[in-house]
Amino acid sequence: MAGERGVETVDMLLNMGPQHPSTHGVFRMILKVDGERVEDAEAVVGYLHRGSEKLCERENYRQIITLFDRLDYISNFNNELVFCLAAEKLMGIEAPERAQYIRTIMCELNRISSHMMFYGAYGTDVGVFATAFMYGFREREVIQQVFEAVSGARMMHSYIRVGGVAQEVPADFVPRVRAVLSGLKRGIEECDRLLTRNEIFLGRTRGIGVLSAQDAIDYGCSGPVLRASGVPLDVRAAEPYLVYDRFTFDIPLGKSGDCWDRYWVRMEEMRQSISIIEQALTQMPEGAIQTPVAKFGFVKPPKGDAYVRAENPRGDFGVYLVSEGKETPYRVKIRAPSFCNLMALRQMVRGSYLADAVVILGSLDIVLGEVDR
Amino acid sequence: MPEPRPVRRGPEKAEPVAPVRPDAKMEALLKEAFAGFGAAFGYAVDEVTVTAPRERIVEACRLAKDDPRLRFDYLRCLAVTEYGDYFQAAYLLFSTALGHKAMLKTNAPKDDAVIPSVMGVWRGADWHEREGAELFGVTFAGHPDLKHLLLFDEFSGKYPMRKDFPFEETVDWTPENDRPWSRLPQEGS
Repeated sequence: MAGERGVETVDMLLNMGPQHPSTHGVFRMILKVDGERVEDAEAVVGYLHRGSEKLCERENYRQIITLFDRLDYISNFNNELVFCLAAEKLMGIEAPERAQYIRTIMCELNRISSHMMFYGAYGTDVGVFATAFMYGFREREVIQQVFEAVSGARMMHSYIRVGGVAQEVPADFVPRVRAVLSGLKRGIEECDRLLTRNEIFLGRTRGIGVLSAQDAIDYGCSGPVLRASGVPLDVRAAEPYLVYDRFTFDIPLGKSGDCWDRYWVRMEEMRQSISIIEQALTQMPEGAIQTPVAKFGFVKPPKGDAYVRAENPRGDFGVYLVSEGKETPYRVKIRAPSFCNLMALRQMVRGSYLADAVVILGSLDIVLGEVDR
Repeated sequence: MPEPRPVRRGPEKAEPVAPVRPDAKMEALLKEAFAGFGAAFGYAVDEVTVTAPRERIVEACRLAKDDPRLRFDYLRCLAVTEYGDYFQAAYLLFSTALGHKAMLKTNAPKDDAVIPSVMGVWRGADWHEREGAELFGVTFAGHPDLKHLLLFDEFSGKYPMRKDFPFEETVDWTPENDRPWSRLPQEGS
């Protein structure tokens, strides 16, 4: 094409990834650039496709929990929970009250640890090399130790089971979590002081990658990405599951839907999660942690289909479960929040600077394990 | 000395919770809105399902989105499932304005696995349809770019999520099978 002054210009295709440090895994973006401006972007996914949905049709319900651990490998508890809720919904059973509280606490702790991971990685994306990472991971480590004490593993816990949880929490669970929370409160303030109002950080994120509320809904975005655009949709409040209807918490909302709003919503969510855990620790009753189903593993839901969704750190995680009344599900469709959020990337990247593409991608906080499944 | 762990109580007797019933108001509303569609109604535990004929699925989706009583502006999920001799697409809908949910379904026979695309209604249907197309071999007619999403390009003609695709079968991923660097000139050639 002919540009200004009649000079011939050509569009350049730039390949980013799949091996690229800021793609958070194996994600490839093909960018069409005009100088420093991105004209179009195409997302190429599938490098981590393991056929999890197909494998679900072969394994039994207890084994599938381990597959769900490996979808969004940053928030394992949340994934396990959704599958267990789907099976429980079809069977018409409910976990004992104590188990519901333990699940809530673990999922909210997982949300904080996931957002801390985001904080560290996002700092690196915008150029705060390693400093934010150290702060984020210092806080995350304390939570991982709680996970290890409760489930025996730092990741891939397989702790939440159909009809309850795998085992009783350690004797010092409540005081330990309280101590962790008070440490976290200080930690979040420190993280906040380091980045949130930092001049350079604001310059890199304010007004970048704006996603309007209308577009966010149309693309099926969820979680912090949707709420940063000002849509007050949180599954915990809209369709309360577990015992979320017994807690009071705020839904932080962004105003403009830019990268800074998506960051800020996550920082506020961590504070809300701390408040939820504190309420849950106060209310947690004594009692059983499993129904006989979880104890002996006789999971055989009747014929039918059900859709369950829950608020994961990345957004609205859903499972569409079809059962034929056998030991294995007939069909499991996983609706991954990162998958849907990533669809909106093209819209956000178009017209931005090339250097901002990484900042925008980072603000979506994708995990390729659940995008590719 | 570590503190002794508390004695764990035995599991309580499983008591089924009161069966979750779908919203009766929603059911009446859907029956009224989809009266002229020749649709069948059913339940998925707590959700009302509407099975519309596939020729009119786009029309049904548009109605679900635009009807002021329904306003399903948010496509939660689009799930393709294989049953005996037909494929079923389930559109899981949610209304951000009114906070209610429902499930639209449509069936396509296996020998004519074509379902009209609803990308014109919700742009978020894009990748879900591409995924359904490559894993099940359902053609979403009218989708602007129905290429592979999760599988590599050469994985064509085989649909891994179909029930007759064995678990053990693999398609080799050789350098010749790869893209796009397979097309680059080799060193020394």
